[in-house]
Order: sequence, then C-alpha cells, then structure tokens
Amino acid sequence: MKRTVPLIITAAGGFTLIVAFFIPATESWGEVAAIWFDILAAIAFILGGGNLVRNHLKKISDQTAGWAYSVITLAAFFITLTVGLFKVGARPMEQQEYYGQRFASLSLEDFPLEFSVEGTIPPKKSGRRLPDSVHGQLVADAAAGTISFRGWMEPNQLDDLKNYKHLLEWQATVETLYDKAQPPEPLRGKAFYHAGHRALAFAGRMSEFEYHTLRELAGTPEWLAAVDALYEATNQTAEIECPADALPERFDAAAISPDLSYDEELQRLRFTGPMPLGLRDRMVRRFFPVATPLSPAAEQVLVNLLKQAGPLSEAQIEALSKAAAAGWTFDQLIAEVNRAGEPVQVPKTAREMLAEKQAGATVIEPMKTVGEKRTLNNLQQKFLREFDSSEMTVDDLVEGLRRMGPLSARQVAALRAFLAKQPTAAERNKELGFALLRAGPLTEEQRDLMFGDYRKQIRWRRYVGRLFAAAHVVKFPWSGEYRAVGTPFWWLYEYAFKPLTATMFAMLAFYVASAAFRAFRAKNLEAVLLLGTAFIILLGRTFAGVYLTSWLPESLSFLRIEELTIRIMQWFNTAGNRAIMIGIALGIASTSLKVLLAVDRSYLGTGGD
Amino acid sequence: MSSGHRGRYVGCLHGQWQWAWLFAQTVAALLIACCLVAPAGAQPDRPPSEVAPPAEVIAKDHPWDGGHKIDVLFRPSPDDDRVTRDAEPSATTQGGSDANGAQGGPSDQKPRIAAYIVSRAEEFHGVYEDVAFYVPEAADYRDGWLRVTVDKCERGEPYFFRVRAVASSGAQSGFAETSEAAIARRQWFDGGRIWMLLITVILCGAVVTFILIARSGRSLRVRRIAGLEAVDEAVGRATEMGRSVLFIPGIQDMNDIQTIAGLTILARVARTAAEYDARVEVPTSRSLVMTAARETVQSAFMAAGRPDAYDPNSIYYVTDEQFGYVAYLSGMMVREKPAACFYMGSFFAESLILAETGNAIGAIQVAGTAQPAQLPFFVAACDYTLIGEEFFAASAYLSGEPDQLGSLKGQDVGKLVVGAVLIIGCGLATMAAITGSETLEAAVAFLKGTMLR
Amino acid sequence: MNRERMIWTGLLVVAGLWLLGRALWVGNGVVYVQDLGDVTVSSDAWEAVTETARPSIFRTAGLWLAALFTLAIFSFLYRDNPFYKIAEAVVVGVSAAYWMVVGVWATMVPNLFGKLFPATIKAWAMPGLSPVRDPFSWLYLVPLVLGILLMMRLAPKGQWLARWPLAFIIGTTAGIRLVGFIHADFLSQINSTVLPLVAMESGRFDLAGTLGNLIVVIGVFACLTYFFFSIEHKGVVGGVSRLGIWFLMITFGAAFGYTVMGRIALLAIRLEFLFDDWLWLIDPTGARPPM
Repeated sequence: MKRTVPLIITAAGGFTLIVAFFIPATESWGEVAAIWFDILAAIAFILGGGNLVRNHLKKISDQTAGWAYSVITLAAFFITLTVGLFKVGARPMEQQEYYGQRFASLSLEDFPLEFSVEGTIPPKKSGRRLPDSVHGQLVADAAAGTISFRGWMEPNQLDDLKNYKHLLEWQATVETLYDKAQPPEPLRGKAFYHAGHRALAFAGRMSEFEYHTLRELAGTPEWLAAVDALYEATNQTAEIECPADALPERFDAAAISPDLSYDEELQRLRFTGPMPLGLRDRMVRRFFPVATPLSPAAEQVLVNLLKQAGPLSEAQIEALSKAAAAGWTFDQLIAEVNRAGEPVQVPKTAREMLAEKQAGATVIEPMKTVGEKRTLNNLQQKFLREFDSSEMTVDDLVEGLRRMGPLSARQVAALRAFLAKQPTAAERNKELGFALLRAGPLTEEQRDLMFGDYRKQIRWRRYVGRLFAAAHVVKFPWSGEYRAVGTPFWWLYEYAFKPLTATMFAMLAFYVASAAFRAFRAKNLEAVLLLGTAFIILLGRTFAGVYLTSWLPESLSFLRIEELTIRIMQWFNTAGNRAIMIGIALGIASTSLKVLLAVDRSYLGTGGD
Repeated sequence: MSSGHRGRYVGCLHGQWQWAWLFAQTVAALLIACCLVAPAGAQPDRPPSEVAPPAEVIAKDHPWDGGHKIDVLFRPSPDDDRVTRDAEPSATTQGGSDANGAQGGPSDQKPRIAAYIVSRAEEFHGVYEDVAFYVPEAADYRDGWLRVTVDKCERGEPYFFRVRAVASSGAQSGFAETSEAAIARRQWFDGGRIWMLLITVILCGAVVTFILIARSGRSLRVRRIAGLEAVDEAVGRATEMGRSVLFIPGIQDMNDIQTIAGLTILARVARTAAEYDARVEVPTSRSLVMTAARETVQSAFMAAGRPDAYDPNSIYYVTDEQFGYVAYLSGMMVREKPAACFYMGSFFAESLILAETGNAIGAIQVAGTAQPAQLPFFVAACDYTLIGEEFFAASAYLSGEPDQLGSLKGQDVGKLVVGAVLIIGCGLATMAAITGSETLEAAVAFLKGTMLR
Repeated sequence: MNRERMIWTGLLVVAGLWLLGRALWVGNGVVYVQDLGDVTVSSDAWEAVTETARPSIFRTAGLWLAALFTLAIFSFLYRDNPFYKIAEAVVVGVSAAYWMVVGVWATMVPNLFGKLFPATIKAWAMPGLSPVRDPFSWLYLVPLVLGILLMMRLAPKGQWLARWPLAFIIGTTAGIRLVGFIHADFLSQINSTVLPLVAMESGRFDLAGTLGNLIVVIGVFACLTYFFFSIEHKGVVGGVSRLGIWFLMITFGAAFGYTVMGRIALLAIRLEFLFDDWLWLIDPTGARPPM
C-alpha cells in the first residue's frame, strides 16, 4: 500500500490533466494545478530553510573548517527573513488607506437603512451570481416585486451591477436604486459606507449639523454608537511644532481650509479631522504657485540680479535662455483650454436609452454629444497671456476669464489640471540654477538667489508632510509592499542581493572569453564549425565586423558579414533549433508517459526496480 | 477576438474604441476609393442611403467549443458584387462608360461592398455593440452564406445580432437582424483540438506499443551514446581519487520535466556510486527537489544493497536564487574539487560558470539539458553533453530495462511520423508552388492551418 | 606563498588608503535622500546642491558595501579567497530568505489564505481583496493538506506520507507538460518546417528563398537522423547524422556568438556601477553637478 498509492496518485493526476486539456469544461484545471504547485513550493520552503539552518548550525557546533562563514550565512538569513516577514518599516498601501476619511466599525447587519425600488433581478442561465462588490447588500423580494439595497451604493458597485446584464430595464432599475441609495443631501460626498471594510466613513471634519443629521437617520444603538465614534474621530486635532519662519510668505490658514490653524504663541500648526491627499498638495501649491513662462524682460531682470551677485559667463546666460524656453507656453495652455471646449461624447444613462426604446426606437446609440463648441475669445486670450502667478492666484485667473467671456466648467477643470501639472516657480528656478551650474560655477549668493525659494518650498512641504502624517490614523498597517523603498528588506535587496547576483551574472563575460579561448585550440571539424560560426555572429554585431566586409561589391553582397549573420540565423540556426525542439517534445512525451505508467519509478523511491 | 473562415477582419471591438476604429476605417476606405477610382469611366455610386443591407441573418451556437462562440450567418447584400465580379473577369464594366479606356481588369476596381459589421446585444432592440468588422474574400462566398464567428459570449445567455454592409465609399446600409435569441453552449469536446488528440494518441500509442513489445521479451537494440558510457568511468575515477561525485539536478523546480528526468538519472548515478563506494553530493536549488532527491538516492542505495552507506546530509538545500546557488557551487567546487561533475536538468545562464569552473579543477564533466540556449556552453566546456532528446533517453540507457528501451523505440516512431509528415507536406507545398494549383494550395493550407495548428 | 601573501596585502593596503583618501577628499559614493515629512524619497547630488537633500548614512553604507561585494565576487577570477567566501556566505543567506519572504507575501497570503479566509486577510493585509469567499475556494484546501503531508518528512514515522504530495506534483507535471509540449513545440515546429522546396516569388523562381527552404528542411531531417536511437551511426545513416551534427554545431556557435555581447553588456553595467555610482570617476548620465 505504501508503494502503490503514490503511483496511483501520479497516474490519476497526470491522466486527468491530459484528458482535461481536451474538454472545454475542464480546460482551466491545468492552471489550477499550477497555482497549487506554487502554494506547495511555498510551504516546502519550511523544509528547505530548516535544512539550511540545520546544516550551518551543525557546521558551527562541530567547528568544521570555515564555520565562521556559516555564522555569516545564518545571520544574513535570519535578519533578512525577519525584516521581510514582518514588513518592517513598510508604509501602508497608499491607494487603500482612504486618506481623508475616518472609519467607525459598523457591520452590514447593523446598517439600518435599506432602499427599495420596483424590479426584478434577471437570472443568469450560466449560473453566475451577482457581482461580489454588492454581496449581501442587494436582495430581491420576488413576492413584492422589489429589489432592495442595504447601505449607500458606490459608483464602482453601480458599474458592476450594470455590467452584470446588459438589459436596459435592469440597468435603468439599478440607476434608480443608485440614486435612491445615497445619504441625504447635506451628507452627500461626505458620508460613506464601505461594506467590504465593515466601516461607516466620513470625509473631513464632521460638523454639529452633520452629526445630528446622521444621528437622526436611525435609532439603533449600533448606529448611534458608530456615529458617535465617527464624530469623535473626525473632530480630533493633530498638531506639530512649526517655527514661524518655516511658514511661507502671506500664509493664510483660512484660505486653505477652516480646519487648519496656526498657533503663533506656541508655534504649532494644527489640523482638525482627517486630511485628504489633495489638501496636502494644495497646501504647498497655494503658497508656492505655478511658474509662468519667463518673458524676455523678466529673464533680463534675472540675469541682472545674478550679475549683481557674482560673475556670469556668456555660456551660462545662453544656457539660462535655453532652459527658460523649455517650459510650458501660453499657447499650449490656450490650446488645452480650447480643446476642452469642444463638444464631447458622454455615455447616455440607461434610463435615457430605455425611454428611447420604449418610444419605439430601433437603433439606440450609447453615446451622446454634449456641450457646444467654446473657444477663448481675444480678450480672454490676452488676459491669460498676462497671467503672473506671483500676483494672481489661479482662482483669480478663472474669475477674470469668466468676466471676459463664456467659460465652461470643463474648460476650467482643464485649465486647473494643466497648471497643476506644471512645476512651481521655485522648482523652475531650481532647474534654471541647474542649467547655470552645468555651464559654469555659481557663487553662494547666486545659489541663494536661484535655490532660496526651493529651499523654502521643501521646508514647508516637510512640515505639511508631518502634519499630514499626524492627522492620519493608519487603517491597514500590514498592507504595505514588503519591498518598499527605504525599508530594511529593500536595503538588503538593493545593496546585498542585487549587486552580488548581478556581479555573478557579469562574471559570465570572463567565462565566455575563457571558453572561447579554449575552443580556439580546435582539433576537429565540429569545434571549428562551432567556433567559426560564433566568430562570424559575434563580429556581425560589432561595427568593426561590418566595416571589415563593407568593401565587397553588390554582386557578392551576400558574403558581407551582416548578410551572413542573417542567413546563418535564419537557415542553419533555425533548422538546428527546430530539430532540437522536436526531439525535446518527443523526449518529454515519452518521459511523461513512463512516469505516468509507472514504468520509471526511481524518483519516488519505491525501490528502484 | 472574433474568428472567421479565411476572411480578413478585425476582432472584437468594445466601448468607445469602436467609434474611433470605424471612423479610421471609413476614412481609409474613402481615401482608397478616391485614389483608385478611375477619373473617367467609373460607375456612378448610388446615394448612401440606398446601400442594401444583407438579405437574411441567422445566429447559432458554434459547434465543439467551450461555450463562448456564436456563429453569425448572413446572406450577402444584394449590392455585393464580389462573387459575380470575380467570376466574370472581362465581361462587364459595371454600366459606366469607359471612353478613356478603363485600365486593367477587375483587380483594379474595388468591390462595391467593402466589409460587413456585426453587432450584438443581450436583448432584442436593446443597445447593440459592434463586435466584428469582417472583410470577406472571394472564397468565403460558398453556398450563398457568409460566416462570422463572434467570441467572448457568455455561456448560456441569449444574444441578438445585427449585420450591416459597408460600401467602398464608406456608406453604411441599414441592418438585418436576428429575431430569435442565440445561445452559446459548451460541448463536451473541444473540436479545434481533434488533430492534436489524434497526434497525441499516435505518439503515446507508439511508446506504449513498444513498451509492451519489449515486455514480451523481444530484445531491442539502441545505438551508443558516448556520454552515458562515461558515467561508470567518471564515478570510478572519483572513487580512485577519493573525491566526491557532484550531481546538480538543474535549477528549476519539480514542475519541470527536465528536473524529473534529471532525478531519474540521479537514481542511476547514485546506484553506481553506491556500488563503487563513492560519495555523491547533491546540492539543490529548490526545497521540493531536495525532498525528491533524498527519496531517489535513498532507494538507489537500497537497491544497490548498501542502505547504511546512505548519508542524507549529502543532499541539501542551498538557495532558490540562481546566482546565489552558482556562487556557492563555484566556491564549493574550487575548495572540495569533486572528481566528476554531472549537470542534468534545466539550466539557464549559470551553465557556463559551472562548466568552466569544473574545467578549471580538472573534473570529468557530463552535462545534459533540454534548454537549447544553454547547450552551446555545455558542448564547449564539458567532456560529454547529452543534447535535448538524448538527455531524456539517458535514464532508459542507464537502466537497460526493456520497458525503458521500448519507450525509446516509441520516440523513434515519433520521429518517423515527423519525417513522413514533412515529406508529404513539403512535397505538396513544392508542387503547389510550381504549378500554382488551387487544390494543392488548399491542401497545404489545411495541413498547416488545421491539422498542425 | 608568503611572498604572494605579502604582495597581496601590500596591494590591498595601498588600494584601501587610496579609497579612504578619495572618500575624504571627494566624498564619493554618497547616496542622498529628501525628507518630505510623511515620506523620505530618493534624491541625488543635484538636489544636494540646493541644500534640500541630505546624505543618508544607511544608503551610503549600503552602496559601499555593494561595491565591496562586487569586488569580492570579481576576486574569485583570480582564485578563492576569504573576501569571496564572505560574499558567498552573504548571498546564500540573503537570497534564501528573500525568496522565502516572497513565497509568503506573494503566494501564501494572497493565493492560499486569501482564498480560504478572504475577510480576515482583507482586514489585515490586503484591503483591496474581495471579502466574498469563492464557492470553489474549498479546492485550496488540497494544497494545504498536501503541504502538511509534506511536512511529515520531519516526523520520524510519517515519512512515507511525504511521498504523496511528490507523487501528485510529478503526475500533474507530467500530464501538463505532455500535452503542452506536443501542442506548442512539436506541432508548431513541424508546421513551420512544411515549406516548398522550390520557392516562387510572384511567378518567378526565387533563388534565395529556395536555398533557404532547402537548407532548413535538409537540416531538420539531418538533425532528426542524428537523434535516431534505433540505428547505429554507420554507413548512410552515419553520413547523414554527421551532417546533422554539423548543423547542430553551427546552431550552437550562433547561440554562443549571440550571447557574448549580452554578457559583455552585463559586465559593463557592473563596471559603470563601480566607476560612476561608487568612485565618482566617470559621469556618463550627468548625475552629479560639476565640481
């Protein structure tokens, strides 16, 4: 029994997978087997690792020659294993941390609100069930002819449901349900329910009014407890020390957010509630505005300032002009805004399309065109070209453009997006400084001139970053990437693993040379063929080789080394490789059969013969 | 992706890309039409709204598949003149005057209907999505129906289809639609693989037949392979010099057949080593391989009658990382200087490092691998190399068992089959190339496109 | 040996002094980071000029260690030595642990525990995972059970049970690879070899094409003859298989020549690391401002 069971397992597993290959219903079994293998290999690490540790410990305890190196091996092994398994120093995954929201635990069963619409869930003959993202939340009541949703539906759940079945009636029902299953108006966009995380969430600081509105939605003790916890969590204030000179010029906390404040006496920067990522970036860019294209006059002013602070060579001035011209231009911005003013195709809602269908239409287009063509008029363009970020904020710019002509919301969004992508004035000055340095030296004063603003920006960013970190409560500390840059595991990978293995790989260059050198002493035809071909191919890939045979006339062009290389690879190499691969396929088929039919049992240790 | 019968077409189109794609196609068609239509003598185009749609559309399940395909059959648009046009090469000039002399034959004039667009919806008169852009060829118009196979259908769900014709001018016709739902069903056999099944059965059958023949007692002879005859010599040498035999079963895991083949060779080498009283060392790169190798060597020692000579510590795990493994091996080879080195399994770039280091220490080296890219390095640096199929045959050779030798014969039958197929195929292809016969070309296309796919 | 050792020690001391001097004079091999409050990002010498980036002790020490490791591995070309032994010990330990960590976080957690206990894993380590258990998730108990059986190897009495997972792996591998190779290698290679032995290009005889096709088909036949096991390589068969071996040698030579450049490129990368990133003797990418 001990001997036959493994053989039966082998045969059963193998033949099942062979047959499964030809049957559509079981085609994916091969992939499942591959995943199982990966898991098994991962579990088997315990055996391998244990063996490694045991052997080296034995070497140390027996004090065999070279036992000191075993100490090094074991130390390296255990340190790497520890920092890797415990994800030491890894920051949580940014996309899943829900920055800007606070969570309060609330399971789906305890969520008190349910929303219903009339309709039925269309069945699927293939048996596939409703999307996982709405698991447990969407229920159909066949008797009453309604569908109900527990929770507040999120956009990705709507998409999943619409893609479940492309029937207009179903999609329209789902859209109606989506509109219904939302928090009341004052809380829209602020209160969320994440069923997968079993969490009631709120974005930003919860005001008294919002608190009472939420409380009034239901009276169950779990709900009230969750709302209370959320209120408390979102009204916590985080603070960091921030010296007054680190604040940017014209710092105005209220202009950013009502939740931000600065205590001048204690020199503390405070924020109440959770801080979203966007706010962190806005806090920097509000006071370090985007760089506007440098006009020739402004450029001259800069050159003069630089000359006052130290010597400036011609090459440096030229480099400065070149670098200044490399930034964005007003023409690009205008083009971008005009492009956003074109009419755009947007998808119709399912309800619109259902109405079309019910009205008798037989051809229903899924997209519709909205908007009329808008371009910036001359006044607006002129105003735009005079935009100077040191005197005007982007909001003022938008205001001004609106006063001078029509401006659609899409155009405003495109304008903001374009400017948000561009470097700040401080960053631009830094780049100009780098261009100057590449062309010649700079004195300390000149450096202060070019880099001073950037230093302030980074310093401010550092305090903003600290405040951001202080205002965030980590939700998933173990979700980070185990190989995140900056962690000890990454350090071991980057500065031990990678250089050691890459250098071993690079050693091949020397070994190839020694192998070729030995083969130079070719004694038989086969070795000459191998070496000669290698030589031709190698030369064909270098400039020298191509040059050597370039003198050959057109009629003999096929003897040129590039041509020879191609012919060798296309004809001879192909023939040889094909035969080898055919042979290998036959060998594998035969070996597999021998293993499955238990003709060859040596690997299983069942006694050999 | 859609598939069809020898028509050139574009696969499944989704979402908003359909419009960009259609727009591009329309522009291209327009440009082609502008460039190629003769300035005088061109027949007048009908106004766009009068391009006739296909006459009839039927949709049904695609046979012998996994349940994701539906065949859409439709009669060509009445305006579709491709068949008649190609069948009468010099007769008609499409009603237009060619006072300037229409240049060339029909190959210069574009057919009136350039393509057909198939769209699909999950409900009758719902939202139809374009799923295929089909450009038919003359040979597709058999028995009056055109066929398009639409892929990525959900099994068991009803679908409705519409087909419209696209004229060379880019104008589109109205649609013809199916009124009954078509449902893709899964059959129990994948018909596209029938030829593969046949070939697999032939190959496996050959192997099994010869194994049975061998078992019946008939003696089978096989040619000599130098590398395998050297195994005994290598192990003996190691015993004489009092040094170990190093066996490396490749750097891949047990899910690679080469590793399994390597382990079967290890069984033979270990048995020889047990008989000669030599020490075999097997550092492995995978934990599972270590486990399997221990089983193998232990049973080999038992079979040789020397179970107490087995030392489990001679088979150990080093590291999974390819170059860490070879760094260890290089160091170990230089320090302990094994007299014989066997490299049997799947190797990658480190093959050269191992072979060269072995050369430097003066060991006798036998390598075997089915990794074509590493064979050159082994051939250049090792004393004996088992190339590809020889490596898989090694276990049979070393055991000498009739069963295993029978399997070698089966492999040879496989090569004979290959030879026969090549002779027939190349013969057909050569005749087809010389004579240009359509029948021969169709035969070659069938051989290459269906049987050997 | 003593003299050799003295020469080597002397050389090493001189090199060490030169390195030390350069490090103190030029400050080479420094790695910079920029502290942004909530994250620390990698930076470079240019940012350091603006005084917004600081040298990172850990990363600089790492770079120097990496350079010394590189030299230690290269030293093996001369002969085995303690530096190489240290480097070898480190690479074995670090790489073995590295792959174990990858095995846990990239395979076990998402593919085993994530399938069996999705809600727990979602709450703990993978917030993006769906908390709904797949109806077929019980299938993943199979590899778990097989893994436990494998661990029986460590138990004194249960070693025979450890053969079952091995048997399963070997059986499934054999089954998958059999059809896989026939499908991918066998059929497709024969398919590509079915070529006309007389090639025509738009009605005219094509010399190059014909020559190419002939060579390919004859080559495949000759090599297959070489691999034939049933007949000894004598006489006609011997001649044809000799031709086959020549084809194979040309094939191997071509592969050999093709990879040489790639290997030299690898060496160039390591040398660039040493001379650019570490010693700051060259600066091909302009990564550092002019002194």
